[in-house]
Amino acid sequence: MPTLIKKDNRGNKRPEPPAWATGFLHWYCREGLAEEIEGDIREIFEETASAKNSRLASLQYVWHVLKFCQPFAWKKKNNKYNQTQFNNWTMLKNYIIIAYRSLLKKVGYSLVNIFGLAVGITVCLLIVIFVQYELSFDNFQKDDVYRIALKRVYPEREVNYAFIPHSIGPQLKEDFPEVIQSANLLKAFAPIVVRYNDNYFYEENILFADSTLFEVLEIPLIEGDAETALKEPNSLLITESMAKKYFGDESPMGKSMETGQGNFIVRAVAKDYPGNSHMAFDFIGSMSTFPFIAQPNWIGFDVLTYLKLQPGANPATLEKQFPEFVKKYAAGPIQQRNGISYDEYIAAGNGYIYTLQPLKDIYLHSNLEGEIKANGNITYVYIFISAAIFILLIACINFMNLSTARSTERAKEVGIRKVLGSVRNQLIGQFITESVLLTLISFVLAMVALVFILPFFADVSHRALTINFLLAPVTIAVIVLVIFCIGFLAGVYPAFVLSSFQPAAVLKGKMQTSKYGVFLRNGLVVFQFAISIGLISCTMIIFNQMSFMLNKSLGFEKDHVVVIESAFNVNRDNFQNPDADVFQIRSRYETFENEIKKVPGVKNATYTSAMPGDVMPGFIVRVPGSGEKESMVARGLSVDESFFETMQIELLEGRLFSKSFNDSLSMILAASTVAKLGLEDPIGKKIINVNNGGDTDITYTIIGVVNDFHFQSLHVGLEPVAIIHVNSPNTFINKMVVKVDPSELKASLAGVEATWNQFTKDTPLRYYYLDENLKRFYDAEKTSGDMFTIFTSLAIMIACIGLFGLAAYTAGQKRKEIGVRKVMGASIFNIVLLLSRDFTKLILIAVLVAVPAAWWGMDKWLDNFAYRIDISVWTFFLAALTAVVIGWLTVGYQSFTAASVNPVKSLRSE
Amino acid sequence: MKGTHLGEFEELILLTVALLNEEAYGVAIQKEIRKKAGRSVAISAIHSALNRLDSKGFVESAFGEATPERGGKRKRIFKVTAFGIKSLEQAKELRESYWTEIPQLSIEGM
Repeated sequence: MPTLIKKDNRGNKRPEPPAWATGFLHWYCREGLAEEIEGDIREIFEETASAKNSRLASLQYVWHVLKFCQPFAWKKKNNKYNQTQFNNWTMLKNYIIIAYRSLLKKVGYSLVNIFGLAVGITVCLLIVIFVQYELSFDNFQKDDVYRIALKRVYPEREVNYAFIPHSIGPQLKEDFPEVIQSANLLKAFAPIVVRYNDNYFYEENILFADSTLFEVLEIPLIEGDAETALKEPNSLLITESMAKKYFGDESPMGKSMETGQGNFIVRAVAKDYPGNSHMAFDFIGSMSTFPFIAQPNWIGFDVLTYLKLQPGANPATLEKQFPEFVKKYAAGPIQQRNGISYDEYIAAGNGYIYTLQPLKDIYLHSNLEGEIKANGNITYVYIFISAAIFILLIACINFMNLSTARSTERAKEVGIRKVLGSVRNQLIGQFITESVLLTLISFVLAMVALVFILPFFADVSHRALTINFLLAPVTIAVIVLVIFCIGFLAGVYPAFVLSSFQPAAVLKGKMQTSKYGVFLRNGLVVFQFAISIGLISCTMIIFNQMSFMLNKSLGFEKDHVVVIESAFNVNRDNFQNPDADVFQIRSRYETFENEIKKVPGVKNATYTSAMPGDVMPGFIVRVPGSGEKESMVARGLSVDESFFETMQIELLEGRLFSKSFNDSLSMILAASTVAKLGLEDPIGKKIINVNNGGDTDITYTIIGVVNDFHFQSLHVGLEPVAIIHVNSPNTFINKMVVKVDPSELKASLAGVEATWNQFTKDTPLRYYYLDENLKRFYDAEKTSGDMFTIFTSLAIMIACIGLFGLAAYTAGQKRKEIGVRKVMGASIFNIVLLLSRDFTKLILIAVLVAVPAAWWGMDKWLDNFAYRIDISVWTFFLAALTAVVIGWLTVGYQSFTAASVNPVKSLRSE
Repeated sequence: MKGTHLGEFEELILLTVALLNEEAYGVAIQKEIRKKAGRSVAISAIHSALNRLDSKGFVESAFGEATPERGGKRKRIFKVTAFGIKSLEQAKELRESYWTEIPQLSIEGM
């Protein structure tokens, strides 16, 4: 403790107690008492200092000061000694009254301000709800759970899969102590008919899972035992609402449900699974139902694997051990399949890179092939947050601009107030109160608007948004804080400008328009319009890209194509003869196809294993003689003779499948696949299909080459595809494609349904339109495009409200000037031009600011797509033109009104 | 007005104030108690007690002179009020009435 040394009257050095402690004492201690206390402890200090040393005395002094800090010594509010404070409450009441009166005095101006701000706040609240919803995904799930993702590297491309070989998860648990449990999950690849007594429906959300599922994922059971629920083959878990749907009030436990995959016994009922998760299910069957799960598998991708790690375990450490792990277990099967050693295979540019995705991040950060449902995208979350901030900024700028622009009107008021004794702080307080009041009114309006708009917005965004996402205490606190901050920030600049006026000057009638103020105001207008123009350009580019993707020639005709799902059902009386081998008996298929083709309005019909938009299984091909390393993983598709005709895929070389040949060992390739295989003159060449399971390889002969067609979304490039006949070994029929005449759509669908019902029993017809199904690829873009349109319109609206107010103000200021000009012979047109010119200049500067920023941003966004448009200068030209025209209309109205006034009126009074 | 009960510590302070007569202020009271009763009492405790005695009406105070060792700060000199003296007397009487009634035996028996 530093002790100050001072000399006393006699010239002796005297120690002084620490001044800060004395200061502290006087701060907390009431007057009167402080003096005697200080005197007393000072006396003790002196005594100790002379008896012992000054350092100890100082310590003791501080200790005393601290010990005196007790209620009896504290200053008391409103005590009889202390009445010089302002009565703040009265002053605040006065502020509010004045604010209220000044709002009423200029109703139009206030409305413009409140309306603009209310729209801005509404948009922000909408986006807050949207973002909260997006961030809420899987928050209810367990901690330390990861999903294994696979980046499959091929020599010429990479594919990111969510599904991996099913032996990996269990083996990881064996080999690594930090893996507590693993669970495999499988999604049914097609909708399945589920039946109990007379109730049968197509069900889409069917999963199959290991019995360990409940240790890894949070799935609360209402009935049944988590230990045993999914242990036995053909066990089934159903959700509460499914139990109601099929069983009504009966207890579903132990009941048998029939499905296309056999009969399942209900062993558990779970609560309905929340919608804000990356997965969804209505039914979970036991994985042990499938015999293939018992076979070891290290290279065929079939299941989603979730791992529960030790609490706090670092996933990166585990990931580092994966390459070694893969080599240890997958090297053998890879060697067996490809005929070359694992190291050679990797050296040739292949690879299996496994990574861990935190479960809670999957929804926003993962977009792999084989996701259980379509995921969100963190980029859009960021984009919308920025949009919210920008729009709020525009609204705040309006506020500041209008307030400062009006400052000359209020200059006299400020002058009088100052003369009557207002200090600057009080004026600042008054103006800030005004703006906070405005903000609060806007906020209330925004909340009312929100209640009405939210259902519409939830519809546009395709999300179950409710106001509940705003009602968390933290969110409310943040919103209230932000509202006050907006009010404060928007008010603080005008408050300082207005309160700085010199009363003598303004009362003499000297108008104070500082150059700086005009410059700032113009700068803010430029900023607003830059944001608006940027948003317009972004929206236009998003929609251009959308229409480009929807209209790009995909290599096949997607219109008027009806796809019948689960067409294999025609090969059996679903529940009467469940043992019929659906994949082998072909005769009934042919009869059905012929019957369908006879339906009036049906132009063609064909069977296929998959349609564009589906996940197609891998199909390993190799050109014989060109070395073992040349094997390539293509996508496999099996179709019948009518496929290419129905889909209108163009034949380039050779021939198509035909009934007059035996095509069971024939293969048709897409043009780019031929190139990737390095084949010249491909017709008649042999292609080996390498079998994953290690069975005998099958050799096919290339009979034809067709034009490339896009069977995946345009986010990704063309993958190689090999097409074989449905009569080939190891193929299957899944869907039937029916090409219909659009003018007879209704009749033909009815005919198809009637035929279907003749061939099946208790299996409703289920179909979709191909073009609509393909649009789902671009759902995320469509949704954000729609949302962007809304936000852009609102941003422009707010900016225009501001411009309108500003134009009105300028016109008011120039009333006399306009009058004089008119007297001197100016036409209305001259004057409108004069008033619009300045704003036009500002908008043009905004264009210069906005275009490069928007160009850069959208170029990045377009890089997400394998097939993208080039950004055209016309887009920006159009965006700028839109802004200029809207600006002119806004300003023009004001200018025209001002210019049409009879000059006598504006010049009469002086 | 708070209660007018006289606690043990308050009684001690009050007695000391009476004893010191015109010289009773914080530090003097502290020293006197140390000397007479052998108790070391914190200065803040003394002020706190004086504050209580003041609000109960047992003492009154006025500023006294300032001395250089007090850094020029005035003392607050405390005086026992008539009500204070009466309370002290009552407390004394109460004790004495107890003492007269305690049988000799029970004390020896302890």
